[in-house]
Amino acid sequence: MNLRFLLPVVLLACVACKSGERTPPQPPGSGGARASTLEPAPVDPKAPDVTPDAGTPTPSAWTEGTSREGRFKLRWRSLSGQVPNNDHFKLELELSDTSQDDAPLEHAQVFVSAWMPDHSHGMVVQPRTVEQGGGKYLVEGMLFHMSGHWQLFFDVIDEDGLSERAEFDLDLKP
Amino acid sequence: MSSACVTILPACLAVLLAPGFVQGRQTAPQPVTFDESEVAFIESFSPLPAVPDDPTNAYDHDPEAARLGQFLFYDQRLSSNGQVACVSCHDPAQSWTDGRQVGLAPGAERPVERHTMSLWNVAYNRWFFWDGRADSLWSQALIPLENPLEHDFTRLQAAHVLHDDAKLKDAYERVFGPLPPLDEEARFPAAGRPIANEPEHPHAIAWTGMTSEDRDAVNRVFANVGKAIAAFETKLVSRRSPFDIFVEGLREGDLRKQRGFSADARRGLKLFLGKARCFVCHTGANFTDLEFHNDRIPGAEGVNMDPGRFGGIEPLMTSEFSGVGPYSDDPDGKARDKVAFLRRPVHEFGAFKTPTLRNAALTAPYMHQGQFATLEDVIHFYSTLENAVPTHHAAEKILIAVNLLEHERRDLIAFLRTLTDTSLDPALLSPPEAP
Ligand code: HEC
Ligand code: HEC
Repeated sequence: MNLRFLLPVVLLACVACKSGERTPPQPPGSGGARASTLEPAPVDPKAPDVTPDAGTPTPSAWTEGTSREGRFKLRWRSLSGQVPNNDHFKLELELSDTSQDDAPLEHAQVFVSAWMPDHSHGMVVQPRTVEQGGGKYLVEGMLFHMSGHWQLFFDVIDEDGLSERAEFDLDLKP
Repeated sequence: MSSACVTILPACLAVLLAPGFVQGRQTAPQPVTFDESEVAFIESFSPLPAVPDDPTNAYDHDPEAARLGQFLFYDQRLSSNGQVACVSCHDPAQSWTDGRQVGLAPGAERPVERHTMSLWNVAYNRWFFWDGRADSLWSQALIPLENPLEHDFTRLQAAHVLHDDAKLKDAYERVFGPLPPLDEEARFPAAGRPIANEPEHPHAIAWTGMTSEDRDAVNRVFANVGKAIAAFETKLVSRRSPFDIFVEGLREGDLRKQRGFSADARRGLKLFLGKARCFVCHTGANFTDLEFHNDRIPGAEGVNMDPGRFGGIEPLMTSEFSGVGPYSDDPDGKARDKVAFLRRPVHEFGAFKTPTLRNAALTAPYMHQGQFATLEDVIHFYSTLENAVPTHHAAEKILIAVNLLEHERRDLIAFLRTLTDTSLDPALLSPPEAP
């Protein structure tokens, strides 16, 4: 696990729990696909460790990180304000180029994938990225179909063909 | 032994026989308790919310469509030999399945290669069939109608059945609007459907001989047949089991509602959420994650190797009746999220849909080829992974032998039996008098 990228997630998650109002436990929402909030890894897959259902969507928080060699900065968030467990969602992604004073990175190709290291499988979908201008991208077709530890990968290729991967760890609650 | 035993012998005997009494040492039987996080987890399994809407079917909650669908579900005229209806294999007296290892249509020469799925809570699913090759309940219904091993019917014949029976025609038109002029024989042959791999089949020739407008009109009637049947199936809901009453009791702090839930079932529930790891896939209030896993169950004898989900994606993507197709009532919404981004990862080879466990105690035999005759056999497999087929492809690691002891297996089954609720409006158990 790459601690460098885990850290911002942990920090953000902590900020999110401080600022977000705790709502009392609610009966679960739609059939089997409970929404849940993003929590930091690591996870113990054996422990049915659970947070009460937040009911209403929590305020969206950006998760930030940098690609492995430090060339690209990324921040992303789920459009519905949370990363749902076993429901489809879309991501908003912003890219900037550290070699250009953090200028927005336009015309990049971005491939999004994910992996569950404890299960040895990835997503059952192939998300697609649509550029929206000004370094903003929309990622459609996301689905984390199980709870547990997920690694989320963004492979970013700039116009000159320079490619770097950014990686985030997240833990989806059941 | 204390002298108290002499005076209250029955009580002491009860202690001696209790599972907690080990080798003469009196350890009080451990009462099963659930801590706060376990209770929160348990509550995620109940209550089962109302049936979700299917936006691709504008009629899924329409009572008139449901009555028509119920009529069609029981109607043997929708088959080439006049003997097959949906109910032939999905029998309410057998918990909406057939009790067979694999499905067999009345009068058919050979069975289909998969076990008949129960229709309890079917409308809660994201995918349909063991391999998920249908993405809606209405498009699912169209496949057995045209399968030569099931109804062996064609969409043109189905449209004519509706058209030629005045009551059916009337019921159909009340819900869906006018039928095309199916009595114009030159435009609408008696039988026909597309058959991609057999273009010389008389049904295929009849179908391709029609104008594309007329084919579209018949497809629409056929899709509506599926939408009506789906509206009926949407009513087959089970969500008031002893387990649900127990969880309601937990939530309300009402001990009377908790009392009916035995100590065995409590221990079984604890196993389900813990050591037995069932919750990993049988999650959420319908006890399924709605997706597919390779359980590595050995194939039944004489049945072909089944690629499962890996083989189900292609037909789904190319179906004219998918949720993103021309007969969907909402091609751009949720249906697009579901279908447009699918891929075919190798770990889907041999993966099958996680079935609900609600009413599973009533739907033996189990698994996609009916490999296991009893719940005991199912638990034995999960416990030992005996004869598990090797996975030649990148395998999921979540299926591990959970090594349950004899009494733990019994407890787990006691829990599974508490997921039973067959209360249903009796009017749904037979065809309505009129469509
Ligand atoms: C010959 C027996 C047979 C007949 C007739 C039949 N089915 Fe089925 N049904 C099956 C089998 C077998 C499966 C599983 C097949 C597969 O996965 O490929 C199934 C699966 C289903 C499913 C999927 C359930 C799920 O959870 O995914 C539904 C819904 C269904 N049938 C409804 C119907 C309807 C509606 C009809 C009538 C139009 C019908 N069936 C006719 C045997 C039959
Ligand atoms: C890896 C995910 C996974 C785990 C863990 C799991 N199941 Fe399953 N279960 C499935 C799948 C997938 C099927 C269908 C498999 C097939 O037909 O090949 C299934 C089928 C079943 C069935 C048969 C239902 C039917 O209608 O045929 C029962 C009963 C069952 N599981 C109970 C359990 C119990 C009890 C546990 C815990 C000991 C458990 N499962 C653990 C995924 C899982």
